[in-house]
Amino acid sequence: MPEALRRTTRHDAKHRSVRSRQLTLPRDSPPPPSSPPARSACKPFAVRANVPLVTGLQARAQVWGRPRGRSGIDVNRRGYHRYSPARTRELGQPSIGIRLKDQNGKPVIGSRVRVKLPDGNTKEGKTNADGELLITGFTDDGNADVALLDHCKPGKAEAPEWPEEKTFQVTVVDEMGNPVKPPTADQKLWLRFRHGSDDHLVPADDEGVATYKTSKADSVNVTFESAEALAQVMKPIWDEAPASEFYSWVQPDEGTTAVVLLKGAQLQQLLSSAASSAADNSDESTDGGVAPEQLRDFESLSLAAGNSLQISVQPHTNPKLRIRLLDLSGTPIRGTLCQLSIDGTDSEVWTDGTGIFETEVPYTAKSGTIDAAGIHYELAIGALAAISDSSGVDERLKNLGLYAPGGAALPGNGSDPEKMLAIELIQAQQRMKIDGQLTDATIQAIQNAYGC
Amino acid sequence: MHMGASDMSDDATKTDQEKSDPPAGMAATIRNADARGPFSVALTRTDQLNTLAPRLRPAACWRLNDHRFDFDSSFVRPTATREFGLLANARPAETGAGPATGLLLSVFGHADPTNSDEYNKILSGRRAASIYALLVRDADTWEKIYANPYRGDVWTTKHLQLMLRQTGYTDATESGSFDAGTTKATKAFQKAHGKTPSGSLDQPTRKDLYLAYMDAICQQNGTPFGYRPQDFVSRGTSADWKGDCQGCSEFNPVMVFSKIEAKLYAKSGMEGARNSENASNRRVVIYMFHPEQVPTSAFWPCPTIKEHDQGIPICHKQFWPDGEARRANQDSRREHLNGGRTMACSFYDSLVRGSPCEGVTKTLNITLLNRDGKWAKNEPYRVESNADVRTGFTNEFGRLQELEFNAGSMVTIEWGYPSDQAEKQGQPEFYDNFTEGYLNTSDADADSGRVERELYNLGYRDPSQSNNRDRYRTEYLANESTDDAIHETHATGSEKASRDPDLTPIT
Repeated sequence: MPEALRRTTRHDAKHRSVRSRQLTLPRDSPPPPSSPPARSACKPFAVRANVPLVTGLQARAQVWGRPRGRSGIDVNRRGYHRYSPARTRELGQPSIGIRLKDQNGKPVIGSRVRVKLPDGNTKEGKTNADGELLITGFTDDGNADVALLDHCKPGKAEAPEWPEEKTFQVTVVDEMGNPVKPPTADQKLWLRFRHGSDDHLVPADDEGVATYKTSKADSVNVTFESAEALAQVMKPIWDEAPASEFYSWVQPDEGTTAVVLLKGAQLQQLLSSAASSAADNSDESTDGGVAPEQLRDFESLSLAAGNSLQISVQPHTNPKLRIRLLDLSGTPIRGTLCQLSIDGTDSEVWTDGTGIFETEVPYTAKSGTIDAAGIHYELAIGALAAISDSSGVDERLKNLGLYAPGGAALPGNGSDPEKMLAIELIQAQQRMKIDGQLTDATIQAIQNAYGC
Repeated sequence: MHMGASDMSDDATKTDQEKSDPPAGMAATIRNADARGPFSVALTRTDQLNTLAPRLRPAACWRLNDHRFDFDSSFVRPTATREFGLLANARPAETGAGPATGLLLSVFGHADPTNSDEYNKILSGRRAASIYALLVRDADTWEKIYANPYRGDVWTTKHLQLMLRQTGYTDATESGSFDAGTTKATKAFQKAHGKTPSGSLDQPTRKDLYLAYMDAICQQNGTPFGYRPQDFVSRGTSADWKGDCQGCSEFNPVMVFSKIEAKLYAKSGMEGARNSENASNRRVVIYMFHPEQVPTSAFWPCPTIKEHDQGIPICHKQFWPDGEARRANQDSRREHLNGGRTMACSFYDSLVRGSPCEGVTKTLNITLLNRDGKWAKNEPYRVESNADVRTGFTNEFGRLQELEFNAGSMVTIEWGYPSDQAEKQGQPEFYDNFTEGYLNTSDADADSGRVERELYNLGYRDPSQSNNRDRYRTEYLANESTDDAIHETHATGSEKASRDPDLTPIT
């Protein structure tokens, strides 16, 4: 092994824990290569690496999980090269990825690669239609030896500039604005990023964020992996939503926001009985939804590089605006007539014995007003941030009438006297220790007092 | 530009009238920037809720100090005219029968901790009712107060004589007895108001007299003004004035004595000093709200004044869990505006947070030194603290004095301008000098920055305290810059010595 490579290998091992490149490969098996190269061929080609190679080598290789500028594959001879597996964030397991391209930048398809894993086992595979091979299925960290079995001849050194990667980010939230989290740790919500013939699945993380990086496209089309998979993830979130329900189109809304509608049980029944019948289509259209065949053909959104997209996943039935009104003492305002105006549509509702009223509103509702008990409330519908955000805490305190940022302040109440007083007030209401500190218990108390 | 503070006695350049009738109240706007913003709510398909409560924040406040009332009384003295003018500026009167278009008002009466909660509940309510009735020209309520004395709150013939004098029907000083002069004045008053001049201050005559007196003292620029019931929080719908006015008893002091002070003032013979020190707590405050933030009065948390002391349990429901401790004497004296947490009622405490109308009134004595370290003699000044603004002239010792000053922890002072622009006094941009300084430096002991604050006031504002002390030692020819020497200089407002500041400091 060359000295330079040994140094690099040690460096990689040292920094492996802090370095991870995003790896996105189709979960499904790629189509077989149409014309695999002859196994005996030992012809010059370029193996792309993410570093310039030393003089005398012809090819470059990319090995995911390795710091840029630190290593290369010596493809001029048959043999093993040492690599450190990367524990990719997306896959949650150690992996080694290899991409082979020839001098013209075309993927080298069906080229054999053998990897001796850190645990001593050996795995061998072929590059796929994209010239890629992902080695997984091992658990130990450590160095791995990679051999390119079909290529051995030296050639002219070439170090093309590594193309700049572009980032595409999608955030998936539920109707409350909270990140969609799979119900179990091993379950993922997969987003599909398409460009050209590439089709990559990327799982959303715990914040509902799926990030895809590629150097091959300036824009991608984004959709979910499938309606069924999305339903599986959303089912625990919406108990009333059967897992077998389908989804309708992803509807663009205000440029960077989209809404996915989960269809109701009636539609599911309709689809089960006669998915493609004209009668069912007619019934469906009266249900206010889209044609059944569209439900399975999940549309996608175009996303330009560097941009982000938020997709709000909502049940198809209209959501409720559910509000409890309190007076200045914190007592529910019971049996009171409320004049509502939601996006210009007026209506009247009464609070019940607990001061609560609810009314169905379009999922697209953005603004409204309530006039009740002498007070005029201006509403920003759907704008409430999650309690996990500091702005979500602030908004709840403001809605509870306790917090007015920018107001007059008293000294001796911390750096944000208004907020500290608001916290003290909620602590007093909830009969907690009054210290003005926003602890987890206080946040929980705010959530309990607010109702979500 | 420097300033020193002293406990100056009686040599200020105030006129006798000014000394006897200092400002005794204020009006101010209150920052409430986000109080009127939208309510961000979420949609749901479960049982999750959005809970909305009124964001009640006053947009303005007005305060009438204890000095505008007779002691222990709800009778409003005629000198309150100045403060009523401030109220009219803050919230212009409206006419007609329509709903209020301006801010809605609510009157809060407060008593000091002397006497019981029950007694103070009633007295503070009577003061609030007296002000409310005056503003809406409700003579019946004043007659009820007159006809139903409560302990020390007794409206007597002397008060009626004062009304006759204030309305221009006699020049005689109030004797307290219904003498010939009073009869004559009463007849004149009755004649002027279309009544048979019997000379008797009977009930119909008293009511007319109340209204005349109200017009005489509740004026803006010499013109009587008043409000309509719909200009108050109940919007004129509550016969009991729920939300319109209330007495807070002694639940919300702006200042609470330390335990030692309380023990001292409890001794016989100390009542006068105690009452004087407690004057800031005896106040009537009006808060003004944007109408869309104000719930109908049925949802107002305070009891009505007509519930008298029976309303105390309702007040207790609004107390902080440690409300009793907040208004109790503790180790040190505490002030609301200095973060002292003195108020027991969480509703009122949160409502008036940071309101400049909840300050402690004090006598302000400050010596102004010009750039050369000499007294700013007979200079016009403008002093401001906690939204209270006063203008005047220093005396020959460079001293300014303001009585009943609504002092905060800091003060800004401007003084001096060319004599040919005397008409511009009070306009900040025309003063030559500006400085800011600490008030109440003596409240902080030497270990908590008293000396640093005094040096700051004297103009030594270098980040390095040793540099400040060196400069002080140089400029005041002090052998040592001891804390006592600095304190003495600050307290007396001494001029700097005549010495070239470039000379080597005396060591």
